[in-house]
Amino acid sequence: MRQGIRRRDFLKTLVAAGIIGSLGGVAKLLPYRRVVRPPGALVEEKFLSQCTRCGQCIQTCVTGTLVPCSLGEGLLIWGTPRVDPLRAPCEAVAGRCEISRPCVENCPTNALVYVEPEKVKMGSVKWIKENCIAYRGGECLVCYEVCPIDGAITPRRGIPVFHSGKCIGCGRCVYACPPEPKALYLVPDGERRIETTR
Amino acid sequence: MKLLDKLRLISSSSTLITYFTASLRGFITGTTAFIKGGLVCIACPLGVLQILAASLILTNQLLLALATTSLFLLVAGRFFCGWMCPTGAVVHSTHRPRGRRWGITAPLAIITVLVSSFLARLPVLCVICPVGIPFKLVFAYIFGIDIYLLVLALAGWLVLNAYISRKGFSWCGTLCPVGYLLGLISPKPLLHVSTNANCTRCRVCVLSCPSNINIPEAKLSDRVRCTLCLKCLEHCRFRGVELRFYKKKILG
Amino acid sequence: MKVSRRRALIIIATAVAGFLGYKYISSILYPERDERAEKETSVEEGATRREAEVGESKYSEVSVVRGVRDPRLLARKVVEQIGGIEKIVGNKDRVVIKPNVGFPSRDAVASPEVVAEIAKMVIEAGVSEVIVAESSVRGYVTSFCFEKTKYYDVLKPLGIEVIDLKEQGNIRTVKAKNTLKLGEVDVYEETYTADILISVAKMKRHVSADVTLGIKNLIGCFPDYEKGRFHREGLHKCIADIAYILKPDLVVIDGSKAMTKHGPSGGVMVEANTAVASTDPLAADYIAAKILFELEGEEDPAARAKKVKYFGYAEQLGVGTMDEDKIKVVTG
Repeated sequence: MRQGIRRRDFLKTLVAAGIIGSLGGVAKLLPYRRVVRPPGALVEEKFLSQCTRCGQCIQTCVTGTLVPCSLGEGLLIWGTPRVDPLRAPCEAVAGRCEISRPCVENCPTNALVYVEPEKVKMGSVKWIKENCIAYRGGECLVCYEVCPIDGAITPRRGIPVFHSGKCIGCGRCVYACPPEPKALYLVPDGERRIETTR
Repeated sequence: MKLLDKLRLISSSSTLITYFTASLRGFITGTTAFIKGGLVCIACPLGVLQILAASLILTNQLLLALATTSLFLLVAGRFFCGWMCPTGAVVHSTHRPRGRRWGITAPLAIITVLVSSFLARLPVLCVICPVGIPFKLVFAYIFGIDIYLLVLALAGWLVLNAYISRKGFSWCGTLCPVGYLLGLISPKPLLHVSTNANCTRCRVCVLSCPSNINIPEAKLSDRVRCTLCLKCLEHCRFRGVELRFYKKKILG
Repeated sequence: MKVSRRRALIIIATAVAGFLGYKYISSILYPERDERAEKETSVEEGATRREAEVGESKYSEVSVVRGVRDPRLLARKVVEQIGGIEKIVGNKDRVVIKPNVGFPSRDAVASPEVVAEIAKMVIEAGVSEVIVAESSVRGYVTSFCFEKTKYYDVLKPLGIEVIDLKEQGNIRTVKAKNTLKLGEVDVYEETYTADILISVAKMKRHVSADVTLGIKNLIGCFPDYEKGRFHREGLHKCIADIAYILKPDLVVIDGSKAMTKHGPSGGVMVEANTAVASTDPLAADYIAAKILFELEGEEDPAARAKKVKYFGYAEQLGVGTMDEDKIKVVTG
């Protein structure tokens, strides 16, 4: 029975630990996609460091819009929450989550914090005009109909015009967009993130 | 297979099934990093430390969860490792102890994880934690995450486990940072293994222990590695080892 | 580490047995999961909810009330002017009221007071079962819209059941004949099988359908995916089709506050204090559209109302008439 540690083995272990430890630093350099975060998310770097990937927000989301990011979107953001308007819109504005947000309340590490509905901006919507029914001459302005923000989408001669400055990225228009494939998708452009946890 | 290992497989898989059912019915939310059921929440202590290392943030919810977890640990110690963790069940039912002991690896693993988390500014182990993988697979099944990473991490862990097991070390006793931290929080819980007057110091229990603890003369630093797997009770021919709750004998 | 074949087989067998056991137990405990799927498959062969009574009377009576501020009084007056609710309800016993509660803002929905008053009248007429059912615009939760627009507050004390179709509705597939676009369409059973269907609409403009009144309101009787399909297949023809399929027995258009210029939400609100009601959905819509365009200051409201595309299609299908010679407007 050999009880002690040989110096050689000890050094080997130390080197292995060092390599694994520094791999963490290297992992930081891995690329990842920018995704639409739930309302009140911290700035991306802080968000990633505080999110334990526990899935509380995803599981308690009343609308079902939050999904975990996939590996394809980046190893670093794997398992973190993302707004998927194809499942459901986010109801932080003009919806059930104006006053109390389960994703925020259940976040154990304050990676998500509460922000007033007026200050929510998760991203903005992008238009693929080739898929748009109205652009192709049909009668459809569903995006304008369902938009909860005045002036984010305006109709001009029967075709929607999108104002990304006013759009908050709730995803209602994407969810309701009738054509297949959809003429709208959500991007995190212009998102307003929180600097510090209060 | 020995009776104890069968029981262990049953108890750990029923833990997983309970978790699955409770998650599906909405009684509990979250994965092992932070589980919440009603007002009670528990958190993985290493997860909390990683968050602390990565972002220097400690929230009330985390502290509350840590307190609840510590309370459980003070009572039952690493009962989770031996009887609830599916990964632990695999280790305990496959590993054959060969009397090798290496006290430094597990603490080193914790330090490595924390340094790595600090450098990467994200909870590194939470992404690929072998303890959490079975639970995350359940979560993935319910919520439709892609499971490539989980399968990859699981495969990597199996290779690592096979390697260190061939060398004679058990994952749970010598390397698992999560388990070691659980032990560190309560080295001598109310529920613990101890020798009694029947002990003849034959050291069969020491040879059977996956964590290679010198049970007759166990120091606190050894007890950290005890997963309450009860292999010592199983192997002792003199009824010299017993499971105690505080000072009362309950098994053996 | 040694895993014998026998041990591996035992592990796999245990896992499989456990999984099957779990499935079995959960199928015993929660059998209701499959019920909805079964109902979806029941296909109704037949054209419409009820046959259109052609040539029953020469005129379509449309009652118009103007200048009444109290919405309850407005509702009561406008229904009484076309002979009271008893004439419509008869001896039927399942009345479904379909209000327009598309959005969680009071401006965009039919006032709950109007709905409450109509429901009250229906109960007074001796009907046992009165249901208020609606499914909101896609992206909005109906129960939330009901709550925000005070529907629950007003209707629950009266003991009237308020149904969120998206959550509680059953789906029935209907095969319609002689329609313009829709062959097979899924519709919420609650509205389709109602003995009497009352459409209580808001008088407002609509950006893609021009106006949303008694007929367009019926789009809320269809599940979300069908609403999207209507836009894909041509909205105006589909609106005419759904009016033909569902043919409401009574249309009440609440114009206590009309929404002009834009719609279906965020338009210019005008205190019109008006209500329109008729058993002929198209006639009611036509008259209401005329009033709406008049409020906007249109020079020739009648001509503008005739331009609404789905009115034309609906007339083609025999939903009703918008020929002014055949419409008898009753004013108080």
